[in-house]
Amino acid sequence: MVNVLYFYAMIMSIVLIYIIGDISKILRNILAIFIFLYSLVSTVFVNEAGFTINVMKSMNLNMSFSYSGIGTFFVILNHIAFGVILINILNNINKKRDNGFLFNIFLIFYLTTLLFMSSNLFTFFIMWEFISILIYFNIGIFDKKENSGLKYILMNALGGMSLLLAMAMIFNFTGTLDFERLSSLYYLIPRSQAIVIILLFTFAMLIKSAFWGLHTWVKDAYMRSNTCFTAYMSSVLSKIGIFGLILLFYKIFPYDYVIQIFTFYNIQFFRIFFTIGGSITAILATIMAIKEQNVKAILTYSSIAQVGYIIASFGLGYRWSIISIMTITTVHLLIKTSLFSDLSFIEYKTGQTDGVELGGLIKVIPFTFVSTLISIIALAGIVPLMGFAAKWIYFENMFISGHYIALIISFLASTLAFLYCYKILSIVFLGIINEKNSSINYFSSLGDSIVTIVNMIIPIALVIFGFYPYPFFRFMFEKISKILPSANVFLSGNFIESSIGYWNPLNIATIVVIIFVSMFIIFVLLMRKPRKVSQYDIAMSAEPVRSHNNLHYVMNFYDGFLEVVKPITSKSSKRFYGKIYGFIEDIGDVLRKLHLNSLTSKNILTGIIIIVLIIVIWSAV
Amino acid sequence: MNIVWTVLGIIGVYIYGVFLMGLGRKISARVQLRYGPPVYQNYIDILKLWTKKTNISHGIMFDLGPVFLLTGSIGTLLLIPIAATEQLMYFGFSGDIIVIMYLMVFGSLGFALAASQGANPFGIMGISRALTLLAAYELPFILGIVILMMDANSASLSNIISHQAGGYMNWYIFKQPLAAIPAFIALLGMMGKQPFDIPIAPQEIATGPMAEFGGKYLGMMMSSHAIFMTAKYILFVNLFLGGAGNPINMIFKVFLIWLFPLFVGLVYPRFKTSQAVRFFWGVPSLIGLIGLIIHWLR
Repeated sequence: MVNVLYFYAMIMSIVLIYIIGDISKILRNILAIFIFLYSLVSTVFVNEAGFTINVMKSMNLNMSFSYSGIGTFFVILNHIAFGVILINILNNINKKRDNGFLFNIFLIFYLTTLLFMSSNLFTFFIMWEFISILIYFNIGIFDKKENSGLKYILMNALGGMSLLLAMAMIFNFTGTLDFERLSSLYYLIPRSQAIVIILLFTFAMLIKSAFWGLHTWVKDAYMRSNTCFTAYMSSVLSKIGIFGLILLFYKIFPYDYVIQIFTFYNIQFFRIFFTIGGSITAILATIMAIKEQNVKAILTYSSIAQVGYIIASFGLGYRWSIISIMTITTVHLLIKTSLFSDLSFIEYKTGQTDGVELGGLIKVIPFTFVSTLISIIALAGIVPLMGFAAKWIYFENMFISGHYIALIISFLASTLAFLYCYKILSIVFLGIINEKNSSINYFSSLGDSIVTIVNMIIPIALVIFGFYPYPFFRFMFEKISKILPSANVFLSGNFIESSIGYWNPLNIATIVVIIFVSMFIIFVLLMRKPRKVSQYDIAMSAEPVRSHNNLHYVMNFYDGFLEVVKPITSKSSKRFYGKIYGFIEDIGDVLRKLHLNSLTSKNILTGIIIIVLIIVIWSAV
Repeated sequence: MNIVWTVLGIIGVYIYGVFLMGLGRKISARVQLRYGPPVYQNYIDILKLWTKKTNISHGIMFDLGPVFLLTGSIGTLLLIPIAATEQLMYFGFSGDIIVIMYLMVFGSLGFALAASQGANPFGIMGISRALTLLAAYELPFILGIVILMMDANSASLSNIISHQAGGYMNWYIFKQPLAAIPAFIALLGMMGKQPFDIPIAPQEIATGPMAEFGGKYLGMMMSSHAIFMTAKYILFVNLFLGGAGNPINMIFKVFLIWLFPLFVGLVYPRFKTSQAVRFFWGVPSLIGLIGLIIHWLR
């Protein structure tokens, strides 16, 4: 159950993992699984009131945790993702020094659970900061140059400062940081101050979520980390920013109030910013993903793109925003957990994530291919898997809320996503197998078999909830019922409906399955059996193909497309920030010159002061 | 009874689709001053391919590719009303155009995976070109669709059809020309005929995705192409030509639309991939955008 015991027991146990890891690997693994199950049972299966830990009594600051509503939903998602990732980690790590990594990620998981359970802003901030520092340590382990870790911590420190400032302002006007009380005291904050608070808070959350322009830390941090940790960052940690925004717009300030204070000249800037900004994030990240040939980099940009859809969903309007945010968040979390876990397994087996070195792995790791294939289909949003439900809700409501330009941009981004989705499958699993990888032993240990089975859980869930999503939606509506009491009108029998259309997932899935099975029987079972040929037995200008022929098509995969989007891909946020930095340096240079103890600079300064004085006096007269 | 009509509908569309493919070959030949194959040549080709003794497989995805492809084609067809009769409005479906658009990709993805497992670089190159082309024509197409959705205030295909009732001047091709123009230009890309036959480009990449397929595989792909192509034409009839009251009417309207990509293809040479993307994201998209803004301001 969620109480003070859970708070302390988890810390002690995680420390124990680190200590036992030095003694026995098996004991460490068993303990890690046991602790995870303890957390799962405590937070997911037992519904209990929260607890409070006094920090600064005199200032009325408490670390307070509760277990209800939307936070619960995120806690459950956190456990699902971490459960799968943990099994992969335990299989992948062998050396004693990896204990530190396991200790770190376990601690991050635990603090993230607490963050989602925080019932006041102070707790949220403390957890946020701890997590940021721990992530920095984790990235530092794998990145010896420490550039990516530094980049990460600098950007997040900027976010942390904004959050702290916003928090201080809220406390100044309301005298509380408790979410429940804030929802009824927000009106005490003057409008102009409320605008500043929202901007600061949003800025902090957008850095964490990797909004385009604030994403400069993401690629390095994701690429240089252990792939299992990247899985956790992409699936769960990127959602901390989203969770923070939900708190801001649904718990601290009412959604409609935020729209109202950001409406100038009858234009709702809040909604425009989120829908357009989110869509642009989605499309630019998608284009960058298409350009990459390292699978980890492709998935990194894909992750930014998916978060773009979630951010855009904030502009859809009170009711549909939260439904769209929660659905896309869930789907993205599941898909990215699955894809990165599969990738970590591939990396474990081949030592590579670069597409140039991979290819043809379907022959040696077929179940991992199936798992990746299903997740990719869901990621692309193709009917009838669960990814489509998220896309449908998003597009329909983008249309209903009248954001047509954002709809077009998002739709194009979604179509472009097919390009990198296919690229992943093609360069990793299909085509000619690399000679180095042809001797891979799929199930070389018990751990490999367990990982393969565990990695199939999420894809199977994506299929089941694609065919029959109703239990998922009912569960989600129950969890968001405090924010949105009437969400279940969105389901009507087996139909999912909006004001402009509806569809029946079960009906569509049934059609697809019946046709697929019929065609399979006719084509594969009843028609003449084919003759299997070797991978080099292909039609190539009548020339016999040998293993030395480079047939693995990876380079210039979408060269025609990339030629067109070169003006976009050649631009870099780093260069943009570099220019700003250069501009500030130039101003600094001018000021420095003015402060030089030379006669010329003094003359210039005196001249400027005289001119300013003349202007002031003249305008006063 | 519904199942019988469904099967009959699929067979009817299939036969008509193969006929159009054969007729297209004949017309192309006559324009190029050749005699050309007989109109029924494609029926013979498919029958021959199905019964071929030698079939070569490169693996499980290679085998499943045609199954995916046919599933996507037939599934798409079943979500599009062929005619406003009870029997040909399959499953009483009046759902969403967005569902149809995403189901259309199902078959293509499976086929792409099959071509990749064929391990022929030309196949993968062809697929990469096909996907690039998809991204290119999707922009003008979705612009056209959004304008129709705005006009009908619905994403339901049956609602869009019912908004065109009351005479041909109510058809969206006349009522919303700024939606129809980009969508019909996008249709040229969808059909993959010249000048947008970049994915197969026989002289460059040896028919691209089809390079490794023969026998029953090629037969299935030709069959799927016939159904998918006709389904897309039927979709366009529903979107822009007011749908059809009976199957004969639909056959006639599909034939009219089918002539458009055929004749354009006979006149223009092939684009390069980058040229095609620039083309679709250029003038047609701009027309669609203007249409969207005009409709929005109204």
